[in-house]
Amino acid sequence: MARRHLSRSDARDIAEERVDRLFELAEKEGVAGNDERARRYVGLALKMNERHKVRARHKRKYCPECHVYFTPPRNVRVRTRSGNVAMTCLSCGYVLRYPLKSKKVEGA
Amino acid sequence: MKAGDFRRRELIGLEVEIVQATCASYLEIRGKVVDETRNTFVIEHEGAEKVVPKECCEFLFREGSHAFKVSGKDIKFRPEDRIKKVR
Repeated sequence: MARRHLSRSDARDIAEERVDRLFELAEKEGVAGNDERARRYVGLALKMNERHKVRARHKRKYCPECHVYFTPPRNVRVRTRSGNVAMTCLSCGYVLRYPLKSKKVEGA
Repeated sequence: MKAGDFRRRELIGLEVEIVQATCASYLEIRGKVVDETRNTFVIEHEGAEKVVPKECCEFLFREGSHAFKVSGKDIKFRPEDRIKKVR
């Protein structure tokens, strides 16, 4: 008999697998230069994350503003700037910053 | 893999052909799925993108050595909703 209901964790597992697959496809399209298609795949993956409460991964692989898949150096500029890494999206200008070093724990 | 499980998976990127359709011109379309919306698939056929409605077609998806026949009516959901809504 067909399974009628899917548990939330099973749904999340499938969603995670699909998100990974979509990012694989986005990478392939991004490397080939099809930015619009890669952008669509990133958008679909993010929607899947939202709908099934999957923890967001692949956070530094796309622009949070315009969802273009980063394929350096073609559409992103990566620089270290005052202890941060700054990734500038060359398609929309958004700057994604994240710390270069992990935070020091006091007293350690 | 059961048919129900397959219908929850990612269909973008798979090879597909249309085995049954209410409009005969859809029957010659085969290629890779490049996009999906609630009501349609976009299929890359001989270098052109063809938009095919799900409602009126039956699809044969190929994944490696496996082939899955799926009625379009059973997967007429938004791609992110398909996981929960497919029966």
